[in-house]
Amino acid sequence: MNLPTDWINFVMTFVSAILTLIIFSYIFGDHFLYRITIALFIGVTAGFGCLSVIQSILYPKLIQPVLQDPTQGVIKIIVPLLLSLLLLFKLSQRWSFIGNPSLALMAGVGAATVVGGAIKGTLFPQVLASINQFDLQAMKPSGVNPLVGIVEGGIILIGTITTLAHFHFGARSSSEGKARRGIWIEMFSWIGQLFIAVALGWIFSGVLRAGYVALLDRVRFIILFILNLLRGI
Amino acid sequence: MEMKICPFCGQPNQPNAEECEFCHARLIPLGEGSEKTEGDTLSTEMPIGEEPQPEVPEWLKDLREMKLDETEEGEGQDVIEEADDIPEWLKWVDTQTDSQPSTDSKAFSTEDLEGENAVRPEEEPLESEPIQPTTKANTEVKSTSAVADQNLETGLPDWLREMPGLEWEGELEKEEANYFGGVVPPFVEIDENLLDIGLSSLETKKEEVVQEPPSEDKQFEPSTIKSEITPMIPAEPETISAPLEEMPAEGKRIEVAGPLAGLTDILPVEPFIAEEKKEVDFVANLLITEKQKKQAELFQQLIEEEGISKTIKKDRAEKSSPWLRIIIFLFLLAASIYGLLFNPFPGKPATVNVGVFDAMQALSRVSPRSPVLLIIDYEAGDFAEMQSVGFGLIDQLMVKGAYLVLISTNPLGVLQGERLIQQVNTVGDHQYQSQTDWVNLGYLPGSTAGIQQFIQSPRNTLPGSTYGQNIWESNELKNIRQIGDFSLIVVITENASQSRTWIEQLNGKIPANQIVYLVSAQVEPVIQAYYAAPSPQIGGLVAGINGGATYEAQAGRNGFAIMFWDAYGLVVSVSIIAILLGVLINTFGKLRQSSSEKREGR
Amino acid sequence: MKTKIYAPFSIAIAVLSAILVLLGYFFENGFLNQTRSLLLENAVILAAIALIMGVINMVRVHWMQLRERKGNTLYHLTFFFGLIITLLIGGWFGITNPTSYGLYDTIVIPVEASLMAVMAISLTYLLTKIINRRKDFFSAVFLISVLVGLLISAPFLGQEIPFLSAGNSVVKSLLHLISNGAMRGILIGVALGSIATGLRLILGADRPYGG
Repeated sequence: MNLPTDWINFVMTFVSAILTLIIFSYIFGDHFLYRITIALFIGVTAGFGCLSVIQSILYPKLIQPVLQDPTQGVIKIIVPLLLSLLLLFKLSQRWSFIGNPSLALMAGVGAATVVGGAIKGTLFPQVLASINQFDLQAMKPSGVNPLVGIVEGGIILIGTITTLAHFHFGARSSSEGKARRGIWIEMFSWIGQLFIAVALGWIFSGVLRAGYVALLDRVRFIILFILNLLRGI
Repeated sequence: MEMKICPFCGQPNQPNAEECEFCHARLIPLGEGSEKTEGDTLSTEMPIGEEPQPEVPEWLKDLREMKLDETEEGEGQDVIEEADDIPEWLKWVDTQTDSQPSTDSKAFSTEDLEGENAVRPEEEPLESEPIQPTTKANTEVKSTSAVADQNLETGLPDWLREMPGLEWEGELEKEEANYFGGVVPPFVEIDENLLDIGLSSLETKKEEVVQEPPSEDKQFEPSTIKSEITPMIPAEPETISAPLEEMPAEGKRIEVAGPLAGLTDILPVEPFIAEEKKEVDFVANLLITEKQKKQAELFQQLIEEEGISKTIKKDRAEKSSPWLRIIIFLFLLAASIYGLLFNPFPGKPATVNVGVFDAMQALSRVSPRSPVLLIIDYEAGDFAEMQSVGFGLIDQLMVKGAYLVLISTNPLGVLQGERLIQQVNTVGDHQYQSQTDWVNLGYLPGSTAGIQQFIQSPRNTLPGSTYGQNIWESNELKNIRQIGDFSLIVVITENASQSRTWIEQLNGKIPANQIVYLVSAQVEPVIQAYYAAPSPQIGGLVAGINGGATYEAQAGRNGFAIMFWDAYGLVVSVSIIAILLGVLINTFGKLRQSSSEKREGR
Repeated sequence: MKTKIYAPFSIAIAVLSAILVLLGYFFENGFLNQTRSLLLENAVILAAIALIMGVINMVRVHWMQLRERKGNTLYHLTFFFGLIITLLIGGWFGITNPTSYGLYDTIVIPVEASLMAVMAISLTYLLTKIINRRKDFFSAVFLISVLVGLLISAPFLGQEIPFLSAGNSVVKSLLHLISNGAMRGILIGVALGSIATGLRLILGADRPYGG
């Protein structure tokens, strides 16, 4: 038996158990220990985040090339280093405008990737999927009853259209001065709300289920700790 | 020494000042001599008129019937006493009954104005009746100034002779000004040097007014004035006119000096007149519609409410009850403990869903030592469910001997990946070694940009492992140039946004059956839309602990999902009961409260 | 004035980089791929720097509050303690070293997992009040959908309910169909919104970078 390792493991387990109980005690109300725990958690998380970034990106991309080959390395890193230094000026209120070009590059690239991904990855495939839902030729090899396939496709299509209609907010002003949507849009919106309520209910049940598994894991941890403690005693 | 008040700006000036120091207005009218009597002002004297013409108003008649005794000698003092609405400068009492005629008054010489026909009146006191104006409040008005009337027998047109006010010709006694309280009222005095060129001078009066010889002041040389206006210029009276017997009607003013003397409703020049004027309330009615009015009111309300914090009314019915929350917690805690300790409902999921089946089928692409990319994108809070979901497939990969490559777009995903592999290694009884059998490439920042960069060029994006080794030259990874070179890509995530991002960025880069998703139950509905399409964008889907338990059951392996399955079933059942009971309790409680409120008459 | 001088420069960078990256999604070209790769690489490095800056800013805020004695001093000190300990241990041993991993396993895992469990309990409690808060048809539909979702995920008290939790039941299939329709609509809507927002930035209409 390796006493120091065992002691270290015991202390770590003990601290984990205490922290778990402190967080659970939040159900009874907010208190000082809970806030201390959260502050400690935020500090540790921030530290690990920094370390991940430095180890995965900054060191291999900005420091290691220079260490490996100073001449080539400097040429390689000059542009990203310059951009990074410009971005650091964003920490200052007075000189934050100097970081605008770096931020502009990030924003432009990010926007383009989002737009490209949305068009190619979601918009076109999902619209095609709605159309192909009624492809009777494709149903035959998979053995799906065409009638059932059409009904299923119809339900999905109605759900898609009515959900989109629910988020349509264009309206005309009426004679009373109020803005009202057209009657057809209102009807579609009502049906869309029904679909959305069902979908969100399912998502909510998934959140609950994930939480119950976390509860089970934490309770199991506490039980194991207590049992190990009793065995040790 | 009394100061001279400027009639234009109201500022005090030296008594002998000719011009105002502040606004440079003339304090002494043009044509006056250098001699100034004390208390000279620009006020004018009211001329005494003749018998009123038929169209002359009553008050004017009364003015003319005033006794001359008080103002016989030309002295007069216009005192306008008004009751409540008489301004200060008018509130002075005529205490002067005898006053010396003003011998210093100089009439404006019209000798040169008239030319040969000019009749120069001799200097003699003008006979005038004292004018005693009366007001509604029985005030007394006394004329104080004398205006020399020039009666020109010739040169006046008929229409001018018939103008009202001309009957005020006559000598007005000029009295020494008696100021009340130091306030210099207008029209109180006529400076003896003041030229009176009122219209009263135009009346054809038989009296001859003695004109003084022209002053030395060049600008008033009669020769410079045109002959056609000669009849308009009266001679300066030597006596003060009789005071007005009654005040003019309300709102009516009689001009007592200048070319408009004797006329009413003349626009005043002096600023103090504006003071005594009543303020006019301008009522402006906006031409707006009802709708605009309502919008304006709304806007005004918005502005007024800006910055004002409103107290939020607490609805009694919505008071949060900590007891119900504690009871629910205790129920679930009890169910968890009981389920974990006693396994009351042993069993495994029997049926296989399509997603699990497809995920199992996707493993057929994996051969020993073939690189499999594991994208670990979940938070530490969801590790329990994710290890339940992911155990089955990762365990199968380990059984197959795949070379696992870990990345994460979450800063802490690096450690989550390490933890997951170690847990599966331990529970599945494998001997997987880090750097030998699996490698962690680390954190991929930049979200979509980072993912797109990694897809395009994995080597350049993450050049080494978390241990700093260049793993791309290893046997397993030396052939990897782009993401499609991996035999299988497994995305393990509980984040709907991140799972969607990976599908969008991977779309078109690799075949759909090369991608398997292991997701949390909360993300399943989102990914189902991509998976359940006629042309699915992913090859397999294992969702939630029930998906993981199904996979483990089908694979014949006991992992975390099976370990938690019984207790999970009990906890979910208890939660359903707790939710239904809670809804019933709250509903009945609210009904009872509303009925008690109705009884209390609220 | 300085911002105005810089503005066209920043806008040009944003627009050009966006156009080059976007073209790479639809056209294959050697030059385009190389440029795109360069831009993406720099964006990734800048994103990493941005994360570091976020942590620096957090440290600065806590330091200022500690100096001005705002809030409870002990919270700020605890934050600094956690951060410094993590940086020291992780920086010295390495982030994936068992010692660093032990720190992560001791502090981060229990706290976050426990928070997840507490959230589940709170959400269960809130679900009981949903009918009281919003008494309408859709709240009832939402509640029923949650209960059905829970029922089909696991056997109820050990028993498989035939038309609910057993295999590919009718209710499960119907729930999937309705949910798929709604989610497809939501995904298309989200994609359209993302495209609109991204295009505004690409065309220079929106300038969140301070241009």
